[in-house]
Amino acid sequence: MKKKQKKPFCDTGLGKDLAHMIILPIALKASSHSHRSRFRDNSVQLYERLRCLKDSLRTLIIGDTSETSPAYRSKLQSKILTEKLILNIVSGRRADILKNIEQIMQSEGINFVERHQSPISPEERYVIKCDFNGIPHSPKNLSPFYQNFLLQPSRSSAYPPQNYKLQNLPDWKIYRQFPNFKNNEYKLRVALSEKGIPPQMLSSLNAYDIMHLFSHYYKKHKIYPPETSKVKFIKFFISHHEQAFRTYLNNSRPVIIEALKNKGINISDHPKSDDYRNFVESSIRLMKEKGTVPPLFNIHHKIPVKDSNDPDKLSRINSPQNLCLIMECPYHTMMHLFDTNSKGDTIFDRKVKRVELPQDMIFFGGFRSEACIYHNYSLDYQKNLHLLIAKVTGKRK
Amino acid sequence: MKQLLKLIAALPYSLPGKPAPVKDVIAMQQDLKFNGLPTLPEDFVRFLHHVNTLNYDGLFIFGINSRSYFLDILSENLRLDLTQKENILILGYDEFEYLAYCAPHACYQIIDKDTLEVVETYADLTAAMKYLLKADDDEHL
Repeated sequence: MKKKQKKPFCDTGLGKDLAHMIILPIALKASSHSHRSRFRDNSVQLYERLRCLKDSLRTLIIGDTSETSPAYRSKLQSKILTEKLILNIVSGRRADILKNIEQIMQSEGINFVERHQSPISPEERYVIKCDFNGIPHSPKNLSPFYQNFLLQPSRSSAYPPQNYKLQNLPDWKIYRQFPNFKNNEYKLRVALSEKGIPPQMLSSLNAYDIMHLFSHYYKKHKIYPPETSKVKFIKFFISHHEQAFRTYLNNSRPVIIEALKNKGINISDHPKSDDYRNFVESSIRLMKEKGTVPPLFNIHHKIPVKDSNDPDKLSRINSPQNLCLIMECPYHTMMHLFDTNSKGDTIFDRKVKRVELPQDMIFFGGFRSEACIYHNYSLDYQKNLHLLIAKVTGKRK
Repeated sequence: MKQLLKLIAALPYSLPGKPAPVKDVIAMQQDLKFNGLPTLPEDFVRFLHHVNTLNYDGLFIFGINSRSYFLDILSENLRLDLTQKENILILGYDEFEYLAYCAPHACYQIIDKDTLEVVETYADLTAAMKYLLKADDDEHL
């Protein structure tokens, strides 16, 4: 009888939702009445998931080296630690897990830095985020003055753009550190003029108002906002290291295919299949054309945003030297394992442990040196940057 | 939901995971409840029936992934181990923010990763996803 009820739900797309709405409350109700059986079932499921976590961690520690190689034997010590780690994961002792992970990573030559955070203001963080991710559609936290001003009927511009002295705008000192905003100073003046904001009222505007003005300007004039730091970094990376990245992807074919399978995406492992080649080519094409972060990867901030230290050098947080393309699982996840370790403390006295990546590392694909890509920033960096800017602006023209 | 699916279909090479079967969703709901976490909201379940896990341009949306802890709603929430976990269910993240479901208020929240402050609040999944995918920004261009 039960099978007859379930079958049509599974067969039709709409039925699935109905199945969820009808079966789920029954299932939850049933489960709440049978703690013992649920506990047993759930423990198995949870254990299975933790086993997967363990496998991922094992891959992380041991890598994909052959089991017979001397390198593998030399890592037996790490393996013992891994076993201890598994026990801790299963028993759910988070502090022990983190301690063991730290031990394992240190035995792999990974350095940790522990320091007090030097928190930045919400406004500074907001500007860093917008510089990295792009200008939001509708910024929140607008100042009362600006909110009132927006509610008033639009007026013709009474003040020319050159009348606006941006040094009177308190939060402009944050914005002007970022080339994306500093280079568009005139656009902000035009936006202020178009809104008809009196120049003497500039001191009433906050960081969110400025972002709203930028957002409104680009929308009104139907022009693309400047490329974000994220896009610039990806384009910078692929323009300099396409061959190295391609080699990494080809060498890591089994690992990437497995990671995609783990994500529920089946890519054929057959040598004659074009699936993986298409994956590599599409990823690289999108990196080049749109500056899109490739699937399974993410961008890691070496010095974290929350630990920017010097308020006058905020833009260095999103500079290529501080960014690193990294495989999300397991490496980026591991890098941030310690972030929530000190939860409950205030942000001001929080001490955070971080994995320290070298300054010239631009790509992290594993703990083996051949899985990483380095960029010599000191070597004619300015020249490269100018060439890149010329190339990008040339294309856009 | 149609709007959201259309938006995702238009993303270049976003590699959405295969739709989650009903029995997996039910098992996940039970697991979440058992672990003291809020259960999945209705529109997110509907989303899972079409797109189970999503990864695009540094944005990771969780789903039901029995093969690995990566992008699996339960495992990721247990791993993140945030405060107020009985009220907040993390459904995804990007470099700066979490996408979360706030059960007491039945709304989606964008939460700052570092400060855990609520940055934005949305009544439905489509609006929250549009924010994360920056779809609104592109509309006017």
